[in-house]
Amino acid sequence: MNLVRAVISFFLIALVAVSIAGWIWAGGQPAAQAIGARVVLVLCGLMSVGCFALLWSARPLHGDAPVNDASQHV
Amino acid sequence: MSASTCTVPSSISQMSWMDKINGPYHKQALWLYTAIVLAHWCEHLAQAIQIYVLDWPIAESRGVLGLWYPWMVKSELLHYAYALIMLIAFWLLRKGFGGQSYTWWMIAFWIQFWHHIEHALLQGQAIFQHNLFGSPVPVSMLQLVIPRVELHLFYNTVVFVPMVIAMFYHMFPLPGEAGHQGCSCAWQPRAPKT
Repeated sequence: MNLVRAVISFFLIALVAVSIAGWIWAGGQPAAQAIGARVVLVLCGLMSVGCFALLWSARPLHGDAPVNDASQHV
Repeated sequence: MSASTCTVPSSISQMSWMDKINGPYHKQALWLYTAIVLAHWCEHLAQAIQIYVLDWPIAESRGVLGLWYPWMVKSELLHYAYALIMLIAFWLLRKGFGGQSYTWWMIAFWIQFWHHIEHALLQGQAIFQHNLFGSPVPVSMLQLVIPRVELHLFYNTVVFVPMVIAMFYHMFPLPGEAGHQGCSCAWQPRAPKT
């Protein structure tokens, strides 16, 4: 099941990278367009980071795969 | 929460297809839907890379399928179809969710509803060959203040993030919510915080 999270995480990371690239690219655009573009790109990046953090914040008690993380044993 | 998630028919064969995709086959339906959503993401991320990294002209940056089939992008059909399919899927698969996950799923649905309206406007302009606001190309409402490429990256993000949160709470139900799910999507009970 970690495959689901891994695949989604890949796209979230790609979105963060694209947001950064877009921020840089927007610097060469007319000011009115650059502001609008950068505002939404920042929001895209921040939401992706938050979503990534949430996605990996929970772990199963008894995973369907061996769990080696010591933090599991509470 | 929908009543259907609490109802357990005696056998799968007695279920309607709606009950099946929101019950025993909910996991498979969500896998299929996620694949569609990620394919859509591939189009937008590829287009962004073509513009931001490869420095292609915006008009020539048509994502993945648009490179081989430019008419799909020029006619607005590709992204309108994605928007419509996603909207329908959000609605069809909603009953499989409960509690917190249902709330987030419906937030994603309503944002996608607006996203679909924007694409319907673009599709209408392409069909009738008459653009809004005297624009040389089809435009949507928020495109008046935000460039199209970034706007649709944003639209897809604000749909995708609540959708992922809904799936997260569906896979890791909050205490007391797991028992109300009629499907097998829930992974395991959530580990207590240390």
